[in-house]
Amino acid sequence: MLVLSRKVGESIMIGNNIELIVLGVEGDAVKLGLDAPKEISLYRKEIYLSIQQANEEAAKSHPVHSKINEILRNSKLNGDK
Amino acid sequence: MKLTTIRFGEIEIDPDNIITFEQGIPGFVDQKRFVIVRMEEGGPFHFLQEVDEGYLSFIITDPFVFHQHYEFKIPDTVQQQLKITKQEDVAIWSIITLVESIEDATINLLGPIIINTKDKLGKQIILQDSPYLVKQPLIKQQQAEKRGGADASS
Repeated sequence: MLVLSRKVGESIMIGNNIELIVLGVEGDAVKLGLDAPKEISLYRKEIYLSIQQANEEAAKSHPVHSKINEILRNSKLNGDK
Repeated sequence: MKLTTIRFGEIEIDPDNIITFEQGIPGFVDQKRFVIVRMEEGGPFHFLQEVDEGYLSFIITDPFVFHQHYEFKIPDTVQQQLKITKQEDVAIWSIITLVESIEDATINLLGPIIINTKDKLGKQIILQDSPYLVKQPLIKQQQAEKRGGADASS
């Protein structure tokens, strides 16, 4: 892992096309600016991890095909609302 | 073409229906080709089935069936990535976590799956600064909506 110190107003280049700028510091929060090409999506890490974890659970938690139908038959589901 | 899957066994799929997720999906970034498999019995649930290895499949649903007021904007960057030119070409699906009963099922409203049905490109996006939950109750939300969305938190 590369560890750097940057002052407010200074930047880091990631590859040729991504720039991370330190915009300010307030208490223990650092305000960052990110300039990246449109193909690259940017997320707060904890949110990305929660989606990842939810996908992993959803992929594992599959009742077999026939059981899904059974669950639906047994439920009072009204999908038409 | 024939596809061998864990969930369905061997099934026949039309290769023209294969949707490419160029970035995979979070947690499964190497799985890039999927098809949507419908349940023969009909109903609101379908499956997003990975086609190259056959073991990964998600239960998906049209989120608007369960959450009529669900709304979000597809970011311009995503429209570009998925080559979306017309609203009519867009399909939206949400992944469901279902273990025992519908009553306990949750739906991921923070990470909808966006598909360009014309060019067969897909992506799971993550909504920014959104009140929706990754594990929003599938059913109980109808009571939450009556309380004016008091559940909403991010």
